[in-house]
Amino acid sequence: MKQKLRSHDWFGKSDKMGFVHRSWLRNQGYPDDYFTGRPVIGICNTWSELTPCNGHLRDFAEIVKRGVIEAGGFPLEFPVTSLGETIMRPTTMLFRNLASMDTEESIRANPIDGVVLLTGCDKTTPSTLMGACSVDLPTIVVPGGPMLNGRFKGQCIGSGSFNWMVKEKQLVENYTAEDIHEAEVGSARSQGHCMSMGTASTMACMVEALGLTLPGAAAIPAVDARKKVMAQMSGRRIVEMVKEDLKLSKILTRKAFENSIIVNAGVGGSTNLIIHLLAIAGRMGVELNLEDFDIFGSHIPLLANLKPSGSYLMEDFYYAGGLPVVIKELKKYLHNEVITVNGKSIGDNNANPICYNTDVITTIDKPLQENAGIVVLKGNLCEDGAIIKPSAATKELMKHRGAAVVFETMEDYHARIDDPDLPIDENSVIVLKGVGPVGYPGMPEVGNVDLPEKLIRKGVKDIIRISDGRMSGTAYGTYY
Amino acid sequence: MARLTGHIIELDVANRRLHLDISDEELQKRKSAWKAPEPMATRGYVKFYIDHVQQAHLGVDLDILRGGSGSDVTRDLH
Repeated sequence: MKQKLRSHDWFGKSDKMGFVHRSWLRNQGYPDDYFTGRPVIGICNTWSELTPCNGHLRDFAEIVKRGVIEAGGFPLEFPVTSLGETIMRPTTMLFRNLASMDTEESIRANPIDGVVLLTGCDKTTPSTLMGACSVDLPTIVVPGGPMLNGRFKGQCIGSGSFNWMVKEKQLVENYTAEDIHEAEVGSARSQGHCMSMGTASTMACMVEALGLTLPGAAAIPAVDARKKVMAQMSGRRIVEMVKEDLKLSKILTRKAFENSIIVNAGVGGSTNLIIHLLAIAGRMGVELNLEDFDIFGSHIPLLANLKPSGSYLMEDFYYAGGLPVVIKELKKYLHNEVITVNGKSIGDNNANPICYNTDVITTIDKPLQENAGIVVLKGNLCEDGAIIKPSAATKELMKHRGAAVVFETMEDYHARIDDPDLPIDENSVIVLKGVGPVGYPGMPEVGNVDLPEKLIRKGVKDIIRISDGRMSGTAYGTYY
Repeated sequence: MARLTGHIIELDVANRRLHLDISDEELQKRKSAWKAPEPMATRGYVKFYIDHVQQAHLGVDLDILRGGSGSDVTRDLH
């Protein structure tokens, strides 16, 4: 059966408009048969030199194109707004929705039959996916992959997780400027995104658990040749998906979202999953609310021993077997029958992965922590809910009463936090206001504010911090 | 600026509770006395964002972006 392609409405016309649509595209050198019946695959690229974690994606687009052409498709790459987490002020979260609008309109307005999302850095996955959801074409995600493990003084250091310790290292361990410089240059030593289980890795695991990537895609390091193979195979697969009309709405069912919540708990993923998954579900018209994260995730055991909840990094995770091992271990909690982009169920895709290192990925019988998923709290301070990630928090603080030390704004915090007269001790509760979606604006990742110098010198590692902002996916400590 | 420092906050993860230890009456009084700070932008995308953004428990999307519009485009460029 010859199916009518969406792009045929542009390229299949014999009138003036068909002439216009084809003629100008030809200036890039496409033969006649590219315009007759080949599925047009839009490769949505978040490459940018200002998004260093996605800096390799221009090369990856060429690899995806190889796969598209092999499968008989016509690849056309297009850029969308890219969001560099470590550079953009005041926060990339302010621009996630803007990037999603860019993606949505770029897909819909163009002669595209299927979409490949090239993503990496934190917001580049949810923003492009949200946009793609609002159009609902066949879509596959190619996650750009984590950097190699950071190295410093003969040890592995996690991107993100180290920088939250800089103040402590300087004050308590007398790190010199040279030490800090050495950590800085050793932290990001290859292409790719943060290699801890920060938000970028969380987003990659999220899309794999949702069924939007080829199996095992999330954990492969950006510079591993197998990442390139995954990109090429994704290019081949999207052409088939167009022929099968395997649209996002057929994959992103309520059950797929529940799976993603469960898998996120198992890997100790970022709390940022919540706002992104809620937004993606909102685009799909799938009912999902904050309480669902507690209902489906909070009782799930932690299996992946990755920073910031554990000790290892994404490179180790990949060598140990990656997300397929976690998915298989969590099988009894998951909806195994839900379909994924390769046309098979998530259960079938992850039936027999081998775990090569049970220190990195534990079995469900010996988890790193029971009941590790995100918890949703209620009370007079948070009528609509507050969240905490127990796997990255201090156990002793899980039940606590303490006096509030309130900061009205981020600037107020900076002005007073190291004031020797500030009435604060290890039992205090820091409350940071004015860092929410409207107030800051953009709900930045400032919830994980540093402790005051005087407490760090006393050896205090953690106190409770409450804010209307977010916590970085790479951070650790007790935040609400 | 008055800074409310020192009231007791109670948290109890097992019981899913985060509570400020003051009376409901006092809390209501404070809420009605609270004035939203001036918005950080009066033009451009950021103004648009501030006017339309939803709170965190809803996903921080813009209200007008929820849902989808499908892939149909009915009108041509000429």
